[in-house]
Amino acid sequence: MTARGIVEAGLSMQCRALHHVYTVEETEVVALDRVDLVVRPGETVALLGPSGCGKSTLLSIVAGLQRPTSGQVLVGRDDVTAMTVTELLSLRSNRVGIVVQNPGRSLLPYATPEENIAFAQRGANPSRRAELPGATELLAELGLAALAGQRVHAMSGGEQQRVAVAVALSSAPGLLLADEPTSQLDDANRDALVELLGQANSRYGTTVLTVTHDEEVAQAHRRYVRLRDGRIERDAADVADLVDVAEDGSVVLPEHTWPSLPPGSTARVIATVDGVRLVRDDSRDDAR
Amino acid sequence: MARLGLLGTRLWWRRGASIAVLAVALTAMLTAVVGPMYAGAAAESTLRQVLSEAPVNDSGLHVQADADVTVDPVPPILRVLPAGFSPAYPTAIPTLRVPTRVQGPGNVSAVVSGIVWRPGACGHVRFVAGHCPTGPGDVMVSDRTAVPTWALRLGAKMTVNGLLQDRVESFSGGVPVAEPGILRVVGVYTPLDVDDPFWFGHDYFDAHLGAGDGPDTVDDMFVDRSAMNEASAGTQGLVWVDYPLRPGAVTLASVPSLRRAVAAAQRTFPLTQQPTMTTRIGTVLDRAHEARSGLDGGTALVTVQLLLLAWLVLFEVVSASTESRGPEIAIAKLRGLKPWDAALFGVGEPVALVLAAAPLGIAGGYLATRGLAAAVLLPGVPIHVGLGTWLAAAGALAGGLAATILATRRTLARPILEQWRRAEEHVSRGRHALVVDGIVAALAIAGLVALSAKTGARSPSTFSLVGPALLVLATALVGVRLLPVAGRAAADLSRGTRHLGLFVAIRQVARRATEHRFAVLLAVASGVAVFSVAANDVVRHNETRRAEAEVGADAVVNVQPRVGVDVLDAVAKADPRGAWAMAANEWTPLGGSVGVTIEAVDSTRLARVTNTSAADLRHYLPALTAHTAHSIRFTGDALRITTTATGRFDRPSLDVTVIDDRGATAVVRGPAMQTGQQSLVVPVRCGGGCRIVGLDLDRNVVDLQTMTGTWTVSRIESRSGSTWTPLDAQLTVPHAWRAGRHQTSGRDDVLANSDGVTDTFTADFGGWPSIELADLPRPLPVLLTTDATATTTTDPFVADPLGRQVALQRVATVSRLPRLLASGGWADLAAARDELPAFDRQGRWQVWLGKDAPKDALSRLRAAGLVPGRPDTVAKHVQALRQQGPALALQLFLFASFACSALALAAAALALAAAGRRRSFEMAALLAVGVRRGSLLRACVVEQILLLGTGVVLGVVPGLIGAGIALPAVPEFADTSPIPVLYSPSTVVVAGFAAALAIVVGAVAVVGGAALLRAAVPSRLREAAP
Repeated sequence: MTARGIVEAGLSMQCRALHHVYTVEETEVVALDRVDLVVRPGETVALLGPSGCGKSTLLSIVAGLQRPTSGQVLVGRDDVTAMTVTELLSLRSNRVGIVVQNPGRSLLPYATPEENIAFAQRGANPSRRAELPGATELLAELGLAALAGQRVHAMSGGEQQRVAVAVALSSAPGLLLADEPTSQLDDANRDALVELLGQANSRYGTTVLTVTHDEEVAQAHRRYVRLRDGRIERDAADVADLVDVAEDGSVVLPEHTWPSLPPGSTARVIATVDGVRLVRDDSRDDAR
Repeated sequence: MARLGLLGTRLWWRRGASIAVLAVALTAMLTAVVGPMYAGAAAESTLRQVLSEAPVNDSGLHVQADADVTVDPVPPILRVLPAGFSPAYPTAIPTLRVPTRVQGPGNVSAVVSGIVWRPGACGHVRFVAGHCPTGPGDVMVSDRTAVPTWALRLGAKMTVNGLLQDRVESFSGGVPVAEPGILRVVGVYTPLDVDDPFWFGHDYFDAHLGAGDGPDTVDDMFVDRSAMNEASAGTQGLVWVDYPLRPGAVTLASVPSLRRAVAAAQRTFPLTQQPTMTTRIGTVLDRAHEARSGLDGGTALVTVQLLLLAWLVLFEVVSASTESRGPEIAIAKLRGLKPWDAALFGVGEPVALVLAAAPLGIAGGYLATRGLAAAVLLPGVPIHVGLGTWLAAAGALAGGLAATILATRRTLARPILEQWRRAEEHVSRGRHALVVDGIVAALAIAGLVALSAKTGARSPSTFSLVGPALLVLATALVGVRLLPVAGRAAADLSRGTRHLGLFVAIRQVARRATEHRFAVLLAVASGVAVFSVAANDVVRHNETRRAEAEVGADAVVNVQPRVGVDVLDAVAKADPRGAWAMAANEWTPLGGSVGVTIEAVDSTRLARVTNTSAADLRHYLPALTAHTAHSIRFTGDALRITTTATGRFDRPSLDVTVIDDRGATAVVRGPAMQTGQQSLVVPVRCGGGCRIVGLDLDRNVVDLQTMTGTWTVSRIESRSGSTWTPLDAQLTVPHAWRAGRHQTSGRDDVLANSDGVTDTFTADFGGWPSIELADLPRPLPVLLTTDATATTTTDPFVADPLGRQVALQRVATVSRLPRLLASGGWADLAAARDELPAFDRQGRWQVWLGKDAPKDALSRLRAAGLVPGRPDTVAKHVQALRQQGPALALQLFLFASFACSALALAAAALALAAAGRRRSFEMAALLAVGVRRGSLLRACVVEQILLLGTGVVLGVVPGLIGAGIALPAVPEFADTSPIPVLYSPSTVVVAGFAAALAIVVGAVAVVGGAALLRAAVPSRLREAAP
């Protein structure tokens, strides 16, 4: 049976007033400040933000790798923050897959992809294990058949990371968490990995939550959430609406807005509560 | 199967660490099992050594009875106690002996001997002439007997009054009468080895001169069985059956049954009736048990110490290798493996290695024990793998698994994020570890203090073997704690210098707490190793000292002189220059105020022949031979004494006492003396040379009154042919002559003047005037031990075989004497022979052989007329001492401590190598910024030398101090013997060991440092940091 047949058709993930504080040299740092976030089943969401904004912290809490100071995390209907250690292990072995930045932290270097997959499937519930996809089958489904039989340590960084995704998917999780999966990859490998994440979602319906600082990676997701200083700054459907304001105040408008506001035209800047509005003003053009 | 396959892949992936863990676990198992196997084998070896060295008549059984030799008295004894009644006594050697006087043909003196039938005797002698007796009238005599003196040569017929034979005599009217037997000498033998166990220690070869006017004794004469069968009915003799022990048949396990068998045999021969059974096998077995004492305890202590060290090393090695597997363990948790599955994954590798090491370690331990036994124990000692070995193996396995699991615990419990961040709570764990170290160090010191208080030279204990390890452990724990402090201070000092390599090295040592643990292990291992080296060196030295004291020279051999051979003359003939041989006689007086053995030594040769055990006694020798005159020797057939006498006496005869060239003393009666001046001629038989002893005025038998007067001897001459030659009799030399010995009270005041020597005498009835030459000291000077003088009066004396009280003059009291040890006395041989005429016959003659003795020394002695027995050598004594329990335990200590030292050094090097992977990033970065490779290489090497060297120094120095504290209390050489024991190891040995250790450490540091730097390539910087 393929993973498609047993995936829980994507799990939802919900953070309610998630708050996390840690202490560094007797100084308290607020990593997450009462964050509320909902990820719908089957959705692909990118968590964006600068270093230290709390996105990896949020991911690790969702994965059950650490406990929040307060708040709640629900994966499906299960409250992750109330789980015991054993329950968390079961969560990660059956329902949540994790891909981390460094493939060395995801893969056994001396093993083949098949052995890594078999290792990852060891934790699955016995009743489920028999129904999990075989390693060869899974690798073929994900287009990684060419890597079968090779030792991980002999692979390139990009190949290792793709195998890491396959391993994370080997337990047919409903939720896939990826923490900076492309940060150590070049563009080609990055794109291949992003495509793989897309396959996980499109083929198996897995909910994908990706932490990244790469805009292009974020663009491959249907939705992005921008974090800053532990808070959600923006939660948008299309990261293409985002522009950077340069230090001299100039802004480059996305191309799709040019028909409305062509380059060289004049726009009136109207300050609003949460930003500015640009409205085309032809009067100066007529006067000219 | 997939899991096993993955396990194999992991083990191969980390094959370096796997080999390290396997090696350490194997060493731990090997150490554990070698102990009991070696202890068992050593105990067997000790038992065998004691049984082999014990006199055969001590370890064997001897059954004896008076019997009629013609009625075959042997079978009844054998029915009660057959050969093989115990596997340890497989043979029984019967003997019939008839004590007898033997008269050779012609007008010769009769001799005392024994007519003996002992089956197999002919196979233990060499025939100088003739053959073994085969018929009832045949007899074989020793070559010492077949001399003209007694006319008992080959073919001669002898009359044997003890072995009666029925003969029809002319007077008996055809009726056979029992007459002294007639035997014909058909063979002349010389015993191959008088100490051969076949002879069972019986005095078959006890030829000696008779006491007083008694007949001489010759060696026993051997006959065929038929000679006994055909003797006259009622011929009385002795029957005995000897059961020599077969040492190889006795094992520790069979000792109880042996004791029971002997006890049962003893019960069948009650002491109140004949036959009687004698044996000292019980005492011998007790001695063997005592020799083993300390072995089990010592071996156990050695094993436990080194096993603990091996477990600690295993702990550290597994901990280091598990640390390197931390990321994989985190993966297992990340993937949600169940706790037990993740734990199994985490400990699987080291546990598999420890389990694999178990059978390998047992096999290796067996082989190591065999090797050690071959080097140290008696040949052929079996190695048993018994219950103790399996229990030790199980304990070692359990301990190894426990150490392994404990070592992985921290990494297994570490949360995933902490593993990824590699952030550890240094502060709290550092304090925790400090407290633990402090407690352990305090306990170690407390243990050492308690040990020192309870044990010592007067109360030895095997537990003293643990002392040095305790001291080293405490020192290492404290010293390693100071290492970072010292490192930081040194780093500050070296910061501003140009020596970058030194700065980097010191800084690394200051901050790397992980590797400091290995320095502690290395310190303990080094300390224990240096203690074992020091202990073994001290043991060797003291074994040699003790053996030398027990023997007295390089070798001492009992000898028997042939008839007419003087032992001193024979030794002088074999070794004319006195370079390597010395005659001595060991005699135990029958009574007196000092009931100890007197060893009479030839003072003129002692200094060159004896070993170092007598080095401090040589200055007493002149006192043993103090005399005021030189000997008067002459050859001739008469002495003429010119004397002037006054006083009241009735024509006493002037008797001269001389000693001839054969050593025989003769008192020659001269003519009667009258008052006035006269020259008296006394005929003597001194054609071969004589020595004048003294002059007596033997009273006329009818003169019962007190003799008083003076007589002055002014001249003594000897005649050879028709020529009279004056002798240098020292008659005018003060003190050259002194009063002679008296049978009863009497007084001689002897004074030398220009006229000669004058004796003013008073002699009561029974006594007579006597003067003697003072060429030998009197009273007999003796050097006595403290124990010998403990119960003596101010004037010690001994009783000679004739019952005379012979005064002794104590020249000094010493703590011990060679051969006699704590209880005995030394005298000069010539003086002793002179003072105690029966000395020669009663004592046991020996020849001491010095280290310069040639290989054919015994042959030379044989050619000179002596029959040597088996030499008692220093080497044999050393061997026996080395077979005692504590010495054997120390041998194991040496072997095991070296193994563990190598292990600790290897583990430390591996730890440094493991840390090297992390360090290689630092090194790569330094190379990338332009630091010279040479500086970094120096940094790597210096760092390793500092760490490993600290471990060695923290081990060797307290190890030596611990040796100084512990050695006096180790039973092997606690001060319970009269021989002063030295506790200081040889500086050369200790320095050599320390130097060898330093060289090994240096080599490991250089190789390790070079390997570390080799891994520091710039491409490293592109890899993810570990």
